Amino acid sequence: MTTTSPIVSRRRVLGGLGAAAAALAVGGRFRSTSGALRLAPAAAPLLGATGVATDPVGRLLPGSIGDRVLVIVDCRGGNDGLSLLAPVADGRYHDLRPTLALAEGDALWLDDEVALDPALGRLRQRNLLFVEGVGPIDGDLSHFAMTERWERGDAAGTAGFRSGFLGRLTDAIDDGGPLVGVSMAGPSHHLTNTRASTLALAGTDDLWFLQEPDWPAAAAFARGLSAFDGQDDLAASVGEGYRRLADLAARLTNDATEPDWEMPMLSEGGELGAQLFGAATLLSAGVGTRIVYTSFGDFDTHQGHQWKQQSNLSQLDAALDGFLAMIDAAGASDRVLVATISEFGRRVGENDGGLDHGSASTMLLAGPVEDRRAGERPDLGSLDDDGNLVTTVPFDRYLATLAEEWLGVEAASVLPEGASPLGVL
Amino acid sequence: MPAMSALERDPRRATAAHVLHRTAMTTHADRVAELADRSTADAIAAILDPGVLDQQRSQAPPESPDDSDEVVRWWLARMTAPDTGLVDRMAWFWHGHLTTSADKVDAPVLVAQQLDVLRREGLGNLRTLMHSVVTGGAMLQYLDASWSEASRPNENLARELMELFTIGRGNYSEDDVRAAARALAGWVVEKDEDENVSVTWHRDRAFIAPLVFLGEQADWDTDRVIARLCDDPAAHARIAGRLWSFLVRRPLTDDGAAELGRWWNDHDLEILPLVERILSDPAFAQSAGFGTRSPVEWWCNAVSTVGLTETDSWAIHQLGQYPYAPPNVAGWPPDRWLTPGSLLGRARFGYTFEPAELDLPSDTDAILDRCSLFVVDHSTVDAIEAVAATPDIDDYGIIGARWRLALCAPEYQLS
Repeated sequence: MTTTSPIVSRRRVLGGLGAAAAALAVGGRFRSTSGALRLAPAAAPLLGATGVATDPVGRLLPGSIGDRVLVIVDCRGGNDGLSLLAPVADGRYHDLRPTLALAEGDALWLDDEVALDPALGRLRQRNLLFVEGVGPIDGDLSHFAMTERWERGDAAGTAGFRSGFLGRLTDAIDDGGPLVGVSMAGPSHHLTNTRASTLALAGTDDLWFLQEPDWPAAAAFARGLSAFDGQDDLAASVGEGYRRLADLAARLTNDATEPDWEMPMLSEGGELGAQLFGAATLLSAGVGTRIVYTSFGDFDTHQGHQWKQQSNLSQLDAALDGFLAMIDAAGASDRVLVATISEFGRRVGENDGGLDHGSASTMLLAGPVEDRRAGERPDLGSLDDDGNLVTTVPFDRYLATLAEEWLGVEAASVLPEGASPLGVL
Repeated sequence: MPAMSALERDPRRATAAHVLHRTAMTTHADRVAELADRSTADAIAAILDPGVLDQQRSQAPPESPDDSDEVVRWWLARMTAPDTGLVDRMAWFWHGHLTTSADKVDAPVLVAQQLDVLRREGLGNLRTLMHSVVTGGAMLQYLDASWSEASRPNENLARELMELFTIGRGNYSEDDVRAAARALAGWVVEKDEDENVSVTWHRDRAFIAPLVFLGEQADWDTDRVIARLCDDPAAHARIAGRLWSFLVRRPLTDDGAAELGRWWNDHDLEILPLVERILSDPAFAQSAGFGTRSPVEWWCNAVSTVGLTETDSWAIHQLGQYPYAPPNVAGWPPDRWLTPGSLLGRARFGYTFEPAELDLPSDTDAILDRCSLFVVDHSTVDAIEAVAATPDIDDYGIIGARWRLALCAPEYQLS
């Protein structure tokens, strides 16, 4: 199904063409015409990268970290850290959350201070590393502004990055692989970069029409896409892009396991389960994927926190446990790390059954990690002026940990000054 | 396939299509045919005709929209209407330059008001446009200037006004940012009990004293700061250069941009003459195929080419670009749209409708005409033509695959 015939020449010699076709062919090599303003040289071909030229370029530290993979799970809307890791032994927690605190009887105790919600029963059986007190520096309560800071890896919002933190990571570890970074949650600014090849999918079944040789019209479409060529770099890059997709689809057909819709990951894991299933099939396809972005949920629980959060955590439990089981089965459990992010936590005190926007929160790491808590639990007795948890770990230090300790990318090369790793991996 | 051996199918219509690609969000086949009988200069004159522009401006966004998406949908409908033209093309340019995210705007009416300004003033005078947008409720909220108080001013609007909207980095200091932030303080966007939105300026929240801004001590206020920035040669070069890139799809050299900026200033910063100047430049005529269609541009063309009447917002979002949802305050990066993920979205979009049910031709030549593809590569023609040779394919399948291919063809991604 995949047409792999090489493109003979990007800039063929054209003969007998009209002005418009000739203009199409000359690209940036522009004759200066009397009275015309001079043009700068044409931009380089743009296949793959999404493009920001002014940001720093990441540096790899000496020594190989092999082909480790980082999978980000973005808990969209602001995940309440006190619901993820509940300080059940702290009386102030119950005072501040009279109706929404985790009941001691339901709690899955981790130690004598904190416990997990029973919705996280599957994950409880695995090693989990919690990092507490992770938040912005001088943050505000805007989803938009705080999401943008996380996207850019800029805890204080002052670094002026235009690219995404994950995008800079893909550039730093780029080895020219066919698909270094992928968003399974559709286009994402997290992956905005300059160089490495990345792709935004809404799921691997996006590629289905390239994998349907039994249906004549789909086969004809797929074959036609791969046959496109062009006279200049832009046009040629379209055909090349479709051939890359076809190649990817073919590898997935060959290597991916058929989804079993009975598996809890897909039946209970919601959109995250589908995204992580797609990620697992990509990781098994040998396309060099190192950075995966997923996102799910409505964690913005201004109202109905109890049931919404239960639903979110149940999805996380089924999806993430199923994903890790697939990774285990593939024999890759020592090289795939999952890390949560979220734009902010939630207000400590309740409103009428819900929780408003907060500040610091708790992040979860799963995979080859120690089963422990890290960071520093914010003091429930000294909240900030808005009644929120105070950041004890600026989130760029959390990201620095992922960059430097997991992927071997020097933190200072991709994050603001002072974002040092936590030393927990 | 007779008469298809040459790449150049129809030079007259190719030229007309080129002019339309750059001056309208949607290239309607009928409009191409209409302009093809004129010289390029006449075609440009027709597009700049004041009566035609007035007609386009006579439509206005909804006055009391329920949500911002209603405004965006209205705009998308205008962008794909048969009479769409330079007004919405330029509003789209200004939306990329003076961008705003609806997410951060409390009231949808403010988004509608801003869009109205972009459409009404987008071909008018730079000073009026800049002032109207910057002091509009949508921008004040988007860049955190609403409720900004002189004693503790928010610097966001002040910084972006200089860095992105006017003079650019390197032409101001952090002291200038702080001074401008003070001068811009005092604005409040709020809703009353009946959800009526007001944008007001409060003297008691503003800074009323001399300030030093860009080396000059004076009683700087919002109007004066905006006027000063609009009169700066650096702003003229940046904005004129950006408009050049938008219309010609190649950047100017720094010297070229400065020259164009001076020309613009000599013409009192009127935008319509600047557009005319750029379209009349020999470089414009020779720039066919230099640019890529962004997702919104591609969507507008695809929808009108096949005659879709209903699509949902999600289908557009999936393509990776949506009006009033820019990635950040810098707007959308230009010409970075031919990534495989973006192409995949375009291929997938072809499955959101069934071409065989839309009264479309299945002949390759007719399809290329309808798509306004008058200069095409052999590989494109061959790929579309070859569909019919697929084993076991029926007529329904042929028309479906051919149309999906046409919308994905390299030439259809270019502008």
